[in-house]
Amino acid sequence: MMAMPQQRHATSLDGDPERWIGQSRLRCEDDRLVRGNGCFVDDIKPETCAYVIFVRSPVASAEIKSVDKAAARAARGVLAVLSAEDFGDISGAAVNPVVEGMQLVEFTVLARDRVSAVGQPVAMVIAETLAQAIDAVDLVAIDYHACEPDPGGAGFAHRSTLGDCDSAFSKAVVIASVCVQHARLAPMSLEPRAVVADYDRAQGNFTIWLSTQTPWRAHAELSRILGLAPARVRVVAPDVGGSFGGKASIYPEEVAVAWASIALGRPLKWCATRSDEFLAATHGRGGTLRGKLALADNGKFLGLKAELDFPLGNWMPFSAAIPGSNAARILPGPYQVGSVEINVTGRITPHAPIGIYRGAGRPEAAMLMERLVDEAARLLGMDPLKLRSINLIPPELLPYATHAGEIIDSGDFPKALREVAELSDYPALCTLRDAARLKGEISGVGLGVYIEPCGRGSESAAIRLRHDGIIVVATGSTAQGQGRETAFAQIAADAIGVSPNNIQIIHGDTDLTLPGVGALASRSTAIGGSAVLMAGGQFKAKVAQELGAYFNCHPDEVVIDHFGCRQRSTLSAGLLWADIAAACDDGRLCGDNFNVKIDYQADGEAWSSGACLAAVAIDRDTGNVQVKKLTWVDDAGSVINPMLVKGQLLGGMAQGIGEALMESLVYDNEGQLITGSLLDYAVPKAQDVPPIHIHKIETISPSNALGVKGVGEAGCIGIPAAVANAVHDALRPLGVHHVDLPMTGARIWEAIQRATKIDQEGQQ
Amino acid sequence: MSAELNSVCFNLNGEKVIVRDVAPTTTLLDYLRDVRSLTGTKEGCAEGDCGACTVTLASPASGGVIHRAVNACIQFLPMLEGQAITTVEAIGTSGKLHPCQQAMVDHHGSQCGFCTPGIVMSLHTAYLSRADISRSEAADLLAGNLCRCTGYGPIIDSACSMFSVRSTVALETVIAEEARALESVQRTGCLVIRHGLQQFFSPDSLDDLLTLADRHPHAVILAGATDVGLWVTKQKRVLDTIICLGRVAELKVISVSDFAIDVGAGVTYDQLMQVPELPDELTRLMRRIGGQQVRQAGTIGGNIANGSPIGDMPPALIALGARITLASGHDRRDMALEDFFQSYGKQDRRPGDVLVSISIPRPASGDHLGFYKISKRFDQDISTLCGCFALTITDGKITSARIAFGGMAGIPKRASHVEAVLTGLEWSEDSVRKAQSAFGDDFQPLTDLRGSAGYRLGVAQNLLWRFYLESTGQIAPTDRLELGQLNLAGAS
Ligand SMILES: Cc1cc2nc3c(=O)[nH]c(=O)nc-3n(C[C@H](O)[C@H](O)[C@H](O)COP(=O)(O)OP(=O)(O)OC[C@H]3O[C@@H](n4cnc5c(N)ncnc54)[C@H](O)[C@@H]3O)c2cc1C
Ligand code: FES
Ligand code: FES
Repeated sequence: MMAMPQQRHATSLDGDPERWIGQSRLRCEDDRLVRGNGCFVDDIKPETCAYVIFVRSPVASAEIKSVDKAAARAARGVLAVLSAEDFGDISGAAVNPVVEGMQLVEFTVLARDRVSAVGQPVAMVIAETLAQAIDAVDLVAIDYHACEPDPGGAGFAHRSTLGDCDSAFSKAVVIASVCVQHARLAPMSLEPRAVVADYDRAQGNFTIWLSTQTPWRAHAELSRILGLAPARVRVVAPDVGGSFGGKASIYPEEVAVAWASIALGRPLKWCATRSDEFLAATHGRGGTLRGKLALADNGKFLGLKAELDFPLGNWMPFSAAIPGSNAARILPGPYQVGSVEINVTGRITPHAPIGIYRGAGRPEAAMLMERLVDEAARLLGMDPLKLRSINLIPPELLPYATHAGEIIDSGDFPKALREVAELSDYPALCTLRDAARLKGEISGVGLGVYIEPCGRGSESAAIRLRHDGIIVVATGSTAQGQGRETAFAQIAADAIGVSPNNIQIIHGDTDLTLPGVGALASRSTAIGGSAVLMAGGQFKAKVAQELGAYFNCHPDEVVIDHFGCRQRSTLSAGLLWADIAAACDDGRLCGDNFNVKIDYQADGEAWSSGACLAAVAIDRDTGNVQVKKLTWVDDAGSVINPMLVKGQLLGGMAQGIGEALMESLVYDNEGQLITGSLLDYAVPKAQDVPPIHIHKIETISPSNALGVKGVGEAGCIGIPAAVANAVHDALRPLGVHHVDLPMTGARIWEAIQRATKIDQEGQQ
Repeated sequence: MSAELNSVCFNLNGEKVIVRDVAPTTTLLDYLRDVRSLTGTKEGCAEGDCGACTVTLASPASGGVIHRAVNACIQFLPMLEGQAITTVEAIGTSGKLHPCQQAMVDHHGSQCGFCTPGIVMSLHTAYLSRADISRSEAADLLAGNLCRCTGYGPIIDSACSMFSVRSTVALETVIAEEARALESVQRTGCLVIRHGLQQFFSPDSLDDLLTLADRHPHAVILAGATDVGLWVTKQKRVLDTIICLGRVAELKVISVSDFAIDVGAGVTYDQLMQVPELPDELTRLMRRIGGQQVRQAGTIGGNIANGSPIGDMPPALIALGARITLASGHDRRDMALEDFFQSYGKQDRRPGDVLVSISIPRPASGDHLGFYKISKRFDQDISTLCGCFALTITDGKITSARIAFGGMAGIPKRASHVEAVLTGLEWSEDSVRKAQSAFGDDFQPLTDLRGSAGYRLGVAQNLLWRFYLESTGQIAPTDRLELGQLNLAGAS
């Protein structure tokens, strides 16, 4: 996506600051977005574009006896009706085998002999107009013979241990035990998936506009699956309307559309409907996590045993095993635990696939651990805050090697907890809660402490000087709302010594960027941003070198700023950036020297962390939860743009509230999705999101050049855990010790009724 | 029948357009995006839920122009006849953003930007039609707009700040100009759009409407399309004959007497909520129906005629003792609202019947009202149940009890056993306890994913208790259950 250099907005900044990093610079993306001039995939309409609709399985498990396409094919405007037989033995997309011995289940582009989940695409109708395609869908006659679902079985299993857990448990004074059932969630980016594939037969060039987080992954996969020379394939992620992990790997529909565009020699467009999204885009969470925490009488954590059971759905997206493997590697979270035994399994099920929804295993790990700590505190009769502070890894032990071989690079967990307690006035809040209880109210206070690994590996960056003097920075990272164009321009500006107005950030287009990874796992600023920083530094050195030669001075004497370059302590005006670009064009300067390409490899993984506090009140009559207070201390390392960071935290928090209190995808016993629309799947609205106090602490990450950590997922990690603990704290006096997620009014009300009944029966 | 108009005429971004030969169920959204290449307006659901497709609709009104935010995805193109549409592309100038757009930039109200055009247009509509906004009003304003990225706080900041630059004088000029432009698209006569096998009538008088309904007894009557729109966009139904009542002025009248509020069937939620004489409890309940976009398009008549067991107006109106009038040709039938609902999916409506008006008795001074909507989410959510209570208490005794529930049976239904127990008793804790057990005689609710039968029944009983506490002043009535001591929340 191209971003025009920022026109100078009336910002809070007066003139150029010394450092752009750390400024809340307004977004350069916004002008186009607030005007409706953003360009999303559905806004792209090549001439002669035809439209695709998929025929989806209405049943969860059946043999396909026949697909009769004749009537649909004959309908007005229909160009083709395709089913599995037309595709030959085209393969699915790759799965990341992160867990050893994993059984990889690739998707089939269109279901061949059987379907294994409701919503699975079985046939595709291509017509001149969308309306014609829709009309013809009902004419495709598919004969399904219902059959028992495949037993499924394990997709992966992994065990990790540290120390002697059994002996730790035998020494324990208290063993807390918790089971957390996570609901399946919909990432629910507001823009549904969308693809426009335009195969140019004459030239053999193939352009695919895709609503994706990972254009380069799509590029590699589509080239491979379709058997095209990678150089002929261009994937463009234009403005992308949110992703949250749901657009991290390619889908069967996208491959089918691309394939059919080649077969028909026509540009094709497919935009998922909202119901397609609920049915057949990847879901998140859904795991059942059981844990036991063994404690000594002084409250020290002796051992953690956990059984993590993750559903996978009927096929595996690229990162299918990541939620499970993440949860396993993050536990026991920010705590020192002497011994650990964690078993994680991934199960194939007759439902839509599960992917890396915002957090991807991090929320599950935090929820299990934080619920265990609260349960342990209850059993020990100790304040949950105190129990946490006894067991948190102290900062002097960082970097800290974990049972899973991870290195937690930095942070100050006790400080985050201390600050959240101070800011929320924890003791006063507990006193208020107790007073409220005496008046018959149901109220509770809960804490959630978390750590969050923010991705590893590499990212690309390339910098060149354009003919008009604009410095063009192309990053392999991508954006779906994070404000990358704004933040990366700040990084590049500081690295080079210019203003963000000199910079244009390009991303998301495989013709215009070097191969990269994309936006995943809260990694983009840490790794992609560091790549820009390093490339900027190299660019600056090259410019100084080149201009030094030109001015006939030492490179150190070359002053680089937003006007251009000049020689220090001379009166000569120097060259404006446009002049420099012109000089490159006419050979006075060597243009090649204004080009930098790097592939930055992060030294390690950055870990962000933080602590959250929630206070809730519950309505006795309806069970409805009201979040009365949220306080959150987050450590995101050094911050590039505080406004953007806050935006990410707030957005994550809202999703965390949704996860805790209302969101849930439900399948019935027949495998039918019964929450297939926005009326049934409740996503938070403005009234549902409580006000929040956010405070930051800053420990610099040693793992990347910028010292930054991820922020995108944090809100989904600590907030739900704190809210869950607050709700359980509130319900404890009523004898309720367990409520599944999401903690809806109906669920809580039922739990209260059950507990009351047991209580009454006990008294009889 | 008056003269036929065979095209649709309206203003789009200040320009008059005349559309001929169009399928009458073409949505405004498809027209904007596909025909006009105005792709700023987005499709996030095509079901009225997300608000990404919000545009500003201006209609002529006595003394000026009324601005409404509507979901373009469920408005059929011929419904726009004689009105004006403004889309996101048209509100700023190339040099300068509209204040609502600028506020969104200044407060980081946009992340991915997909919801943004819809949100901007919700803000734009508010900017035109009010002078300022509080934070909670802003959250209410946004109830029909879904944003998955921002967590809303920054958007609420934007909404609150945009009014600081609002100049009423400047706006008056703009609106006067809009009113003039609207005049140029006013036409009389019956709009008749025929396309393939579809026909769409939009008469401009009640007489014509009734004649058409008589002639086409199986036609779909179309009001605000907040239900019917989804039949087309979601269920992919093909509607052959549609009769739209949007241009029938007689059905948009509200008249208030000492005893009743008489409401034309074509009155929108939003219009009714503006009536000062409306019982406050009803206004507050209606505030929980849909979001702004749904309330500004959906009609009271549509909510009743749709016959849904979970529509929110019927229980409240039944509790208030509302009566409705159905018309067929020259015949008029008048009935108590509860008698209209016969069984699940079946109403006392004969082919050709049009619901013309609803008469809502005004509560007397000794009456106590309590209307409660219980749902998973505060805003724009379907009711798990909706409980409505109206009691008349004379000298401490309950002389009349009208209690009706939605979501507890296949139709909106009165709790006649509960009413019978209460009538004649004192309004006391004891009576409440007695009456609570009668709910089981009135209702055998279903278990579904919104709540179990036990939950529904239990909550219905609790609501009676809550109503008792509220009506006797022991707790303050609230829609947002503001609970207890922990009320420390502050924003940052
Ligand atoms: C996002 C969303 C949220 C919603 N939230 C709620 C909610 O919270 N609570 C709630 O109760 N409803 C809700 N609804 C449903 C809807 O708003 C109402 O049912 C609405 O009142 C219907 O009115 P309408 O004018 O749009 O009717 P239409 O959609 O035009 O018509 C609805 C039905 O009534 C018939 N009809 C309309 N007018 C007449 C008439 N005068 N005579 C005879 N038949 C007629 C139509 O033929 C059709 O069968 C929601 C809808 C949406 C899309
Ligand atoms: S597209 Fe979602 S409300 Fe119209
Ligand atoms: S900014 Fe992405 S949905 Fe609102």
